[in-house]
Amino acid sequence: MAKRLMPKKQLEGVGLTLTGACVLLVALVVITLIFMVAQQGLSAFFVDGINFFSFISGTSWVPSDGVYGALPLIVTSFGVMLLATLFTLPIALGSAIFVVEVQPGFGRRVFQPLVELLMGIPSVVYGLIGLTVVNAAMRAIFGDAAGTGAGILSGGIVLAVMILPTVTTLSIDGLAAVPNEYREGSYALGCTRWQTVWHVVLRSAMPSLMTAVILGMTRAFGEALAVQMVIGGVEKVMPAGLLSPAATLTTALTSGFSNATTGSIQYHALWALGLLLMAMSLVFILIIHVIGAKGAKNRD
Amino acid sequence: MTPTAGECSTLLYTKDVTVKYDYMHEALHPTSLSFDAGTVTALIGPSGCGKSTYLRCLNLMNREIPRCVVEGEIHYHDHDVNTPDENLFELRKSIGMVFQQPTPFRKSIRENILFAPKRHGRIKNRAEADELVETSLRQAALWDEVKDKLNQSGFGLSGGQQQRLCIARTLAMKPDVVLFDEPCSALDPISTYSIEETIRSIASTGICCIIVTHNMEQATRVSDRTAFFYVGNMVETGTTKQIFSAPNDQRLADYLSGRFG
Repeated sequence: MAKRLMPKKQLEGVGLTLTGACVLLVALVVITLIFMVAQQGLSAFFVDGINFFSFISGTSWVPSDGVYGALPLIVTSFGVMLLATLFTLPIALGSAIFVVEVQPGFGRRVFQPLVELLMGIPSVVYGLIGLTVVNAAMRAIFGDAAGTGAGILSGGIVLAVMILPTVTTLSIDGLAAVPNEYREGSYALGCTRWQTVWHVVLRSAMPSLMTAVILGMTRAFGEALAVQMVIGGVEKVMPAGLLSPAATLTTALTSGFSNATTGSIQYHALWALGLLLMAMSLVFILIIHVIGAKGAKNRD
Repeated sequence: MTPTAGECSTLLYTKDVTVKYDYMHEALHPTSLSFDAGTVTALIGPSGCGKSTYLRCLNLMNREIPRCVVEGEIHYHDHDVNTPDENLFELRKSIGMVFQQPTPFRKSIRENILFAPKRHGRIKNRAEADELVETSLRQAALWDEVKDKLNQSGFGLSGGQQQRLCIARTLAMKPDVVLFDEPCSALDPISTYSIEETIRSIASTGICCIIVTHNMEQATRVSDRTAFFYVGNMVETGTTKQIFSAPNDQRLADYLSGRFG
């Protein structure tokens, strides 16, 4: 028998302290982070006197002239996010159905590792590919209307590829978690495979599928680098259409910070953008929790 | 249409059915049994004896298992259904199945009942739907308990109610055979009793019921005929009375006496 370093009771005390300290540290990081962003962001309104409503609803963002209307950024952010979701959802769902319901062997051995590989590619690489391939394709397809090819549509397409692995793997997990008894219950009623998948499996997996989509959306909403590279970054006015170059909340942040002096109005306005981004991500996370809780309730 | 006792018509019979898992492991050796309309047949035996495997042949459910091969003849309405070109989906509309775990779909009680009839285009209008929901739930003895909450989720019901909902859902397809795969093993005694009542009353309407059960007392309560399975063989079959009071096979006798200690 090994000799104990210290009495058992004391050892438990040490464990409790160590793990408790970890929890405390994480909580502290989260709270200070939120506090700092809120403090810096809110000072744009309370210290520098920017009107909150004109900040939210103003249609031009020209920090150099002291004009801070974030609506174009908000619209563009939602635009690329929704486009990305629109492109990704059918493909992710389709491949998840194939992997879980049609060819599980191939799916687990070949497809899923492949998709996970996609998840590991750094976003700057996506940006590079987007810049050379997607933007060029835009020019080739839409001609002069596309300009340089940079624009909301290009951003949406690049983001779609970026969130595809997340949405796909989570959808696969969601479908695979549906108990086989449900499928058999449906087969036993003479339903075909397609009827079973569509009406029973997808329906049962709905909460996890929603979570998959929203997590994908959150990622699309928060991504900066790759979007910055393909969207143009003309952050002045409302985008005119899907092909017009524009700026999202994130790209305005990344491109704006190099020009802002610490403590200036412009600096605080950028923090306010960050606060806005964080608040929206928080809303997404909240929605996921609500769906999760509802799903858990229905399962009982 | 309802056959009276004594002149039952054979609805379903198998001739030398075997089942192999993974193409080679024979889980069920040649089994021949026949089932009459309006009767309840119990399939009993220790775990892993092949009784559920056999049951799952009857509606070709084993075809959903990869690398599972079912050989032999399965005659339903005097027609061999164990052929590659048999339409499984058509077959399963008239041979229903109830599983061990109650599996209501993530839908309302009403939609659980109407799910399959709707998919198969059997519902023409709302009145028809309402009537089907009521008759099916009545047949499964669930109507009185749920008639005021038909639009609530099937998940809100107790385990026994969920199982009766699954029975009602099966009956809504108007099958003439219903297979029960240990339908009570996840339920408490009161729910078990009510499921047994339901099975008897379904059989009295002329439906052929086949039930796999671990519970030998259940077999004596609910069935007219019993078949005993042992390590992949159907060892003995006869009327339930004869099987339990005067077993011929020594293994069956041993198995039965096991329950007394």
